[in-house]
Amino acid sequence: MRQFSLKRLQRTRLTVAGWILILISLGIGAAAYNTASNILFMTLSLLLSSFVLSGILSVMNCRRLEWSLRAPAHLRCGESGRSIVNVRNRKSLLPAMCLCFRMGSSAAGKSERLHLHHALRAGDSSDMEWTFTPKNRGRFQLCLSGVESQFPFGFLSRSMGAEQIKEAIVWPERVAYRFKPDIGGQRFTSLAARRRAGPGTDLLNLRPYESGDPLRLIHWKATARLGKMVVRQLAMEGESGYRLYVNPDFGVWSERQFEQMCSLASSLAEDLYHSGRLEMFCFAGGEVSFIRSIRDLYDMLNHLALLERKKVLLDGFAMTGCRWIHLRPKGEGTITIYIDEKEAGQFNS
Amino acid sequence: MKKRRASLTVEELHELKWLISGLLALLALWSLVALDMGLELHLLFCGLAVVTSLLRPIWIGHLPEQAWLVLRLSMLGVVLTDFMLSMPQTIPPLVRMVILILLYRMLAKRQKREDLQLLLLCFFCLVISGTLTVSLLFGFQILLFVPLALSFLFIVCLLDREPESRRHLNSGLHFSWIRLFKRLMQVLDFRAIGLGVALYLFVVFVSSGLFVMIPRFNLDQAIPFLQVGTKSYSGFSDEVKLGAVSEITEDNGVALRIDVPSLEDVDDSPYWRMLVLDEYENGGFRMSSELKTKFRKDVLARELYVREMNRNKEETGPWTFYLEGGVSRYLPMPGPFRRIRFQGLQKLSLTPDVHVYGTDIVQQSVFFYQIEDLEWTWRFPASRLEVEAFAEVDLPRIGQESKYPYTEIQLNLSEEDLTWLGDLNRQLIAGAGNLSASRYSELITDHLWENFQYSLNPSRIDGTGDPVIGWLQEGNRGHCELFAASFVLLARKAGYPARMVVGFAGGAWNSVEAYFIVRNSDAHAWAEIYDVRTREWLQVDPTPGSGASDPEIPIRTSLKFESGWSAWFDSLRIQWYRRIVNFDEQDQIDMAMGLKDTFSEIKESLFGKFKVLFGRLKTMLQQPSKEISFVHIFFVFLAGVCFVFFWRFRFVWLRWLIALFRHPEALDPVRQQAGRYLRRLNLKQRQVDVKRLPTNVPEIRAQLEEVRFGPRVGEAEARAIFKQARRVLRGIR
Repeated sequence: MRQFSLKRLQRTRLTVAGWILILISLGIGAAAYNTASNILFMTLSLLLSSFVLSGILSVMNCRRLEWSLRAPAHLRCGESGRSIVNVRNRKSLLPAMCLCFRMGSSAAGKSERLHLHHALRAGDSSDMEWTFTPKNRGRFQLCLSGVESQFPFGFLSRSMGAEQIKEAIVWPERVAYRFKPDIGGQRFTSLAARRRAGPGTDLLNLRPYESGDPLRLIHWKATARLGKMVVRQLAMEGESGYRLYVNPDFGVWSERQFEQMCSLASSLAEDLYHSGRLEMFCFAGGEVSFIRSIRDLYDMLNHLALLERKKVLLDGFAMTGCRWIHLRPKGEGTITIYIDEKEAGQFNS
Repeated sequence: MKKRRASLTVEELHELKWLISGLLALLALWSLVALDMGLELHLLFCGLAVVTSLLRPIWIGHLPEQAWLVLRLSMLGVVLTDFMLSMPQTIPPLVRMVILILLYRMLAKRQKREDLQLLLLCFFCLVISGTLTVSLLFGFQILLFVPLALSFLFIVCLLDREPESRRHLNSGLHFSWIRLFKRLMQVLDFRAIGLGVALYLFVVFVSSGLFVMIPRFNLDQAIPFLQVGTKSYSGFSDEVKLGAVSEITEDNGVALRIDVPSLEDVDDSPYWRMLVLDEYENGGFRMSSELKTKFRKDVLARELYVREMNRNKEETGPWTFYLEGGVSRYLPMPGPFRRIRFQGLQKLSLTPDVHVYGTDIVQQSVFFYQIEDLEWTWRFPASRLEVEAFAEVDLPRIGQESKYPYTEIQLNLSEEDLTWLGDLNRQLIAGAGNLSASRYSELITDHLWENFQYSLNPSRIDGTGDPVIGWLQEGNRGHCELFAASFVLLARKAGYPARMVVGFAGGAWNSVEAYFIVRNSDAHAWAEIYDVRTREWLQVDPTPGSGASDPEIPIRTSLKFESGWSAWFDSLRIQWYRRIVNFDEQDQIDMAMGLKDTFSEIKESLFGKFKVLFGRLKTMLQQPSKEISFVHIFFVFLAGVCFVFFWRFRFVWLRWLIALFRHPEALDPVRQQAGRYLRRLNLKQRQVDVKRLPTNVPEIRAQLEEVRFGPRVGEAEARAIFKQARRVLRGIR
């Protein structure tokens, strides 16, 4: 955004204290003119000079401030999220005080004030946390309505800066479910297939650590030697995990059941991944995607977050015999988990 | 690593707010002490309560909620009762109510709204007091109030973080002033204090500018505003008992200050005439009811033209009088004048026939007025009525007519006393026949001076007769009123209309600020005798020690001069009256004209210098080989470069200066060198792979950091560390 447009967004309002000061000044002024009393003129001039000082300090306080909003990378429905407002005082000498940011979200009805509790010295920056709890999966908007300050005496409220909106995706809520699959799995015969990264026990490669990688995969020796976190990438084994199939068919799920299904699918996928037993996933009508790293899992959760009920024209994907997990409704409050058409678990709302 | 400065916690800010609010409340109560409204009990009680709450805030914290409820209800009852009992007066009970609310607001738990209410109440007290008293103390109090109020608002602004600040609402249970002061000492540094002082000076400077520049016009009290009167403390009222004036002399307080054009304009022995008492009865003089009603004019005016200026007389500068509050409603006037001005529209009570000017009520605060073309004289023209009445030399109606102007010759005495007075007169005149008023005055004054002494403790006169006659018969010492009264009675008996005059005589010159000061101890009574030949009233002072006995001879006495600390302190008051209280449109115009003249002078002077400089430059350019040398060019170039560098790096300089004041040790060359090595090491570490770094890098880094930030190390030790650092830096490829 260009500088001139930012300037235009500056606004100074009188607060209640400011209005009181103006009214008192008017009263004192009227009395002073009425009586020609220099005592009252002196009082009036002191009031006005305080107001002038307040205006000057207010302008100086809000000068050369920079701020940015960092939305969290991942959010989960029903769990508190944390966004960071970073504010930097680029002034050379003077501190910035009594700063307040108005934060809002698409979930919360009204905005909240986020106060900077200490003075920000010249050249310093500070992070402020704002926690919130998204209530629904899907796209989530965070809104920062510029900086506001009533510094120094609370007569004037000066706000500046445009609205900053950040978008995040809220994954479905974690739910408790029962999942007891029969032991077993498909053993790969092809060597090429074994060279693929996946849940297994044989070491395939070492790669840098990524946020969300299971701690048990950290290769401590290599980490110590290289001075940075390194994790083991395992090769896919025959007795690998499961493949998750999600069908958002309009005809299968009611609206409430659909939300429960999304929550169950995300919880199940995450648990399977962390136990190293999720191989791939597929959404009805879409392509099969492999899950090789945590990023793939996040992609899947993002899909689930944005998934909507729709009419699936072709649901003929051959999914039997490959440990495909299907989710199907059973009554209004129950979803059953099937592996290769055998019941393996259940979710009750 | 940046050092984080200490700051106060929310709880400590609440404690500081409590302290400042207590100080504000005390200041407000202090300001009300000057008011004469029967506030003593309220002020004492509230002052004690506030001081207690400041010393022991924990006691307030222990009060249960029910106590506050009871307090509120009882306050309501007290206030309503007070209003009912004080009817029809409204301002005194209003101020008392404000005091009680102020106390409640101070002690009860407060949030932002209540904080603002408290501040408003304090402000109200201060303004009410200042407006009514117009005292110098108000100036001091408001200058104290401003930083306290701004600090208070600043803290309130800092604490305005709902809802978390509500959690820390001051309960008073954990107060410890020692802890708070220690924390304040930690937090405050020279920069914060300096900034605070600078901001305060800014407010004072801007308000001074605004005070001078605010356009002045007068609504002439279109809105009724704070008309509070009081009784006269001095005894200068319509009725003066014997000894009343002498009692005033025991008070050494200032009654009147006068800004005079120059010391030469002041008479050597000035008489400040306030009140004329024409009627005598049983030892007391008073202004007759006729004079008070029929001849008194009530007018509303900002200025009055009293008489035409004598064309032969030179115009004199203005005389500004500052009459202290509670002295009298009659204005001291040393002589006839052309014009009198007041600051605003003023209700006046004029008795022009006897040259007495007053306001409608006794002013509670300093009252100031300005007179122009004043004429020092000991003769006042008689009114037309007086001239007509006293035209007959033998006044047949003495003792029969009791209306003004005959009250000026009336004697309410017994036949016996009248006979005795007549005998005394005959004895004094000794068959001199028809004497002039001045000659008669001289004879009587001589008699009084020869037979009586001046004393503030007059001889006790026993008996039930007239006290003045009794004193004349048996006394031997007395105060000014007895002398003046004796003169008046004798003169009236001799057929000379005479009257008593009260006011001030004398005064002192304040050498510090060059103004005249009259104290209550200068209160005096003297007489005026009618001179039928000139149709004037002749001023006669029959009190011993007042000069010559002949009233026509100008009195030559030396003026008193005040100097030293007391004069210096008093001069502050006159400054306050001159610069603040008496500042008006004319002063604004004068100031603006003065500024204009100053700027014009500066402009002309600068233009002149510029012209000379330009001329020289032109000459130099025309004769370059002779006048311009390379040294000149070099110095001009150097100055230019210096200015550019100074401007370009002004913030660096400023930071450097601040660092110098705050952490002078940071400018130590050894520490700076260590800092440079640390920066180079950091740079290398970022550029080079970790594996290729020498193993002793952490050790060298620790040593350098110790030199940079730790206690001061010796130069030799530092040199060894720097050598190692250089070696390490060379080794990193």
